[in-house]
Parts: sequence; structure tokens; C-alpha cells
Amino acid sequence: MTDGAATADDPAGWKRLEPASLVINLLPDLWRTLLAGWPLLLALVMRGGVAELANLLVLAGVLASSLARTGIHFATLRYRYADGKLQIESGLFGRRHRVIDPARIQNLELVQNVFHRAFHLVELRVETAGETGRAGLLSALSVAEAEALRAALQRSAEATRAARATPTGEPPAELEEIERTGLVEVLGHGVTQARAGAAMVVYGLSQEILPTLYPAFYLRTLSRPGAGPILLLVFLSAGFVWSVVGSFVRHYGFVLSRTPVGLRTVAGLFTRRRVEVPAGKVQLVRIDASWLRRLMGYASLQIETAGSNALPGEDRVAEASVPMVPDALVPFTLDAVLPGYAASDAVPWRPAAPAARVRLMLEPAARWGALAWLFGRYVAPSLGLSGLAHAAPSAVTAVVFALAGALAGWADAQASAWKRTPTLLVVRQGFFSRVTVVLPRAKVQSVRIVQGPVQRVLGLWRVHVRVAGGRAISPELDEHDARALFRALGG
Amino acid sequence: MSAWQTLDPRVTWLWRAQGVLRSLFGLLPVWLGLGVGIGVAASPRVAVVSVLTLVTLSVVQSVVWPELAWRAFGYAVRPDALVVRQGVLWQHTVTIPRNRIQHVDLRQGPVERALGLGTLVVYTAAGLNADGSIPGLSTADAERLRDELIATAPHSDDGV
Repeated sequence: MTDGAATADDPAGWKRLEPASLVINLLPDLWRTLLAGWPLLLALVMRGGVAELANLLVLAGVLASSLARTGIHFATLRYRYADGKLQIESGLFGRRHRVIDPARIQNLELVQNVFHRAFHLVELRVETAGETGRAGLLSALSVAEAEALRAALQRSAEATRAARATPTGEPPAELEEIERTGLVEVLGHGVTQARAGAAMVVYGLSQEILPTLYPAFYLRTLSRPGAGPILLLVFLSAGFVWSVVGSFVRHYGFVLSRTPVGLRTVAGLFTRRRVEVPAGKVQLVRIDASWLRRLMGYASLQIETAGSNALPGEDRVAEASVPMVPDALVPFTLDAVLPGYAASDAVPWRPAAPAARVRLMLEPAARWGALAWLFGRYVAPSLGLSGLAHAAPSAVTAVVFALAGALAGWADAQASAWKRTPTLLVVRQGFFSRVTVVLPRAKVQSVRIVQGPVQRVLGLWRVHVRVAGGRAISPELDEHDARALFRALGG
Repeated sequence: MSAWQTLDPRVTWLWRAQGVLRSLFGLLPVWLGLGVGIGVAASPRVAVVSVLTLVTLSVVQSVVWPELAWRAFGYAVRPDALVVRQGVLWQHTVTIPRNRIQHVDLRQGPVERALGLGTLVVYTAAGLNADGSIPGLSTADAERLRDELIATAPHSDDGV
């Protein structure tokens, strides 16, 4: 691989995929198309199979679209390694030109499936941090070309990293245990994870579905007075049990340790998961301390790095989590994860702007009040709950709920706060579901200051701070505080 | 702070064309459906007035809004960062340190190519969406800015 050298393909050094990519890419593309269009295929089968002319035409269309995409991909994709960077161009109507700096590459993979092996080709995958998709994907290269390209990218990345390397502190000489979670704490985590909302949804659905599917059973049992609350209690209990079992299986035997190269968590009943987080790779820590968890004197930590940690089709999950940490040990544990956190304890919390606190009270008051009024006025009578509407007129219900909303908003306003130290930004929000986000300022990828139309009237701003593993959003601040925070974070 | 740069004014025509097409082919069927619904529930006259009002508002928005968006949009290339501000109602200013830039895309759709325009999309390690996107650059400006942004800052750390 020569840096930007002229090749037989193009005097500027641009190269193309091997022609065999037409074959190699066609089948996967066809498979993806069929998967995406399975309802259509199902409809075809239900209508009488593939023998009918119309159905054959549909199938021919699917095949033609795959052929067209594969052909366009082959005809329009070109790449080159020039000026120490990988450049990829593709697209027929929307032309894309991507430049990938090797120093940003997190992972380089060479993949061969059976078709690649048949043609003596290989697929080169280039991944950069924070993307679930691949920044660069060259689906059919000769083995020699792919190896040469990979070697060139790695040489360039190594040279850049060596030039940027800075001395780091001494790592611990041996394994040092920081936190061990006992059985009772793991079960407590499950109890405090339970979502009452999910149980309510299941209960609601059962009330809709059962009378239709099993009317006799419904009339015999669940329509009796008092059966509804019992069923709701059953669903709530089932939700708690499910959550507790899930926590037990996932976090059983949890241990967090410091190793000579970083952090290690070990946990799991059936699948033992050992996560190693290299030192300095922690991007963000989220502290979940719901009211129930606070009542028990615990908090839960989610540790995020830049890795995507998700297979296709899966939700992204935290790289490592500490299920339950006693309140008193949170600063100590966090200090091990993010050195310097303990010092931030001395920095006082700064509240949201006064106008923001008023807004935090008024918004839920208006929302809860309006919803309660609409329910009492329109929904309750249609459900046959006229007795309820008679006992508590919609206006009275609305006022009660508005007051409750204002109270909840007031509690949220009291909890909304932030602080920054020379190395960290800490943002806390929510009273009932309190979440505190801690991120190292050295990891900030971008910082954004945002003002909507209502905020403009009130003179409020929010600052959004993004790191590779997530983001923190400040409470609403006045202009002075928001601008100061924005500037302090590089804005 | 470097001086704020504005977009190529031709981008307003691109946005207008996109807005009108979106209104006619995307929203019009929805509104016609809404009109039928209102016609059944209220009266045909109310339905016609409602739909005509919506279509008119949409076309006006497609024509006027791009000018406001163009005025609100600006970017500045500082020695240490790219700064992009945008938004008519919701105003955003985003700062992307140059040493955090992972890669840069230059995108040109068929209409953009015909107008000699391009969209520069700047990615950091922060996630799935681009952190900074600058539409409506002339092709030459876009290529110059792309080359400038991907020039590696010495002794930088990308925070990952």
C-alpha cells in the first residue's frame, strides 16, 4: 500500500471493490430485503403461493431491487488511502465522501464468510468510537490489498498515538477489591428496579382482552366486586418478582475491583460476565437513586465507556454497573472509577435558575390538572364510572391533581442542581427518580447551548454536554450561569 | 472567536423546494384525510376552509421559513473548535473541539449537486447522530472546510 500512489484504477489513487463483490453482496442484500418485507411475503403465501403472475412480479421486483443496489454499490464505491487517512466515496444520487483518521479508529476487523473464501477475498470493517454502524466497510477486497490497507491504517494510528502519548500515574500493583454486593443487596436492587407502570399496563390490557376472549371466565371471576384490585395486586407482585429474579440472575456475586490496568466487574449467575474497563476510558457514570432506593440507603451506578456494547437489534446497555452501593460509600466507589470525585464533595451544589424552578412547578400542575379534568369530564362517564364523576366533579379532581403536580414539581425543582470541579461536571435531576450524571470534563466531545421560545421569554438556557458514552443536560440556568458553563466546557 | 460565516444564499431555494414538495406530497394527503373527517363531523364548508388554511400556511412556511433559517444559521472555525449556531425558534449553538472530530462527511444530493452545494457533517465519538451539520456550503467551501477540519491538531487527545 502506497500513500496516495497512482494505481491502475485511477491516477489519483482511487480504487474499487473486486468485481466478485457483486456476487458476495447480492445474497446478503436479498436476505435483508426479504427479512424487511416478510409481511408482504406472508401475504403472498396466504393469497395462494408464488405461482400467480402478480406474486411472481412482486418477487421479481424484490430481486431486481437487490440487484440494482448491489450494482450501484459496486459501481459507485471507491476508496483510497491518502495523506495518512482512509477516504471512501459512495452513492449514486446522494454522493457521500467519508474521511477516516486512523487515530480515531477503535477497531479494525477482517471478515471472511463462505463466499469471500470461495473468491479468495476479504471484508474490511473499520469502526470508530460511539457508532453502532461502521464508519467504513469495504466488502470485497483481495486478501493482500486488505492486509496492506489494515497495516497502513495501523501504522498511521500507532504513529499518531505515540506522538500524543502523555505519562500517566502509577497503576495499582495488584487487584484491589472496591465493592462486593451481597445477596440481600442484589435482591434489594431488584425490588427497587420494579416498574409499577408496566404492571398497570398489563392489568389494563387484561381488562380489555379477557372479556372479549373469555367472557364466561371474566363474568365468573374478574367482574365480581373486589376482583379488580386483587388482580392489580397480583400483577404488581409478579412485576416485583420478575424484577428481583432478573437482578439475581444478572448481578449475583457482583464484585468491583481495581486492576493494574483499570477496573473490573464480575457478576452473573448463569452467564458470568467479566467486564474490563481500561484506566481512563470511563466516559460517564450515572447514579440511579430512586426514592425507594434512597429510603433503603443505597444507590446504583452505571459506568459508560465509548464502546457501543450492543449487537445488531439490541438496546445499548451500560458497559459495567454496580447494582447497589451504600450511600456512604458512593463517593469512595466513584473516586475509584473517576479519580478526583471525592474532592467534588466539597464543592456546593448550584440550583437551577429561580424562573426554572417556578416553571418546574407550573408545568406538571397544568399537565396533571388538565389530564384529570379531561378524564373526569369525558373518559370516566364513557367507562361507566359516573359514580366517581358524581363523587368528585371534574373541576375538583383537576384542582386536586394540579396541586399534587405542583408539589411533585416543587420536589423536582429542589433536586435539580449541578456543580463543576476542575475535572468533573456533575448534574442531578429528579426527586422520585433521581439521576445524577458525573462526567470527566476531559472527555467532552461537544457542548451545546440551547434556548427554546418559552425559555427565551423566561431568560433560561440549557447546556447539553456530550461524551462518547452518553450526555448530561444541565438544569435550566440563567444566561450568566449557562454562558459561564458553556465557556468552561470549551464553548 | 472567528467571524461568523453564513451559508450560501442559494440554499434557501433548495430548502424552499424541499418544503413545498414535502407539503404537497407528504402533508397534503394527511390534510385531505383530515378534511374528510371534519367534513363528516362538522360541515363540508368548515372542512374546505380548514384544509385551505393548512395548505396556505404550509406553503407560506415553506417559502418564508428558509429565509429565517438562513439568517439564523452561522458557523465559525476557531483554531481549537468548530462552532455552529442555528435555529429560528429553538436556538442552538454547538461547539466541537477540533481534536474530538472523528470523521467528516461531505454529502451532495442530486439537487445540491445541480446547485453546486454540499452538506458537511461532522462526527465526534459522542454517538449515533452527527454533532455538527453545515448545509448549504458551496462545493469549494465544503471541500476546503473538510480538509481544514480533518487536519490533525498536534498533541491532541480525542477523549476516547
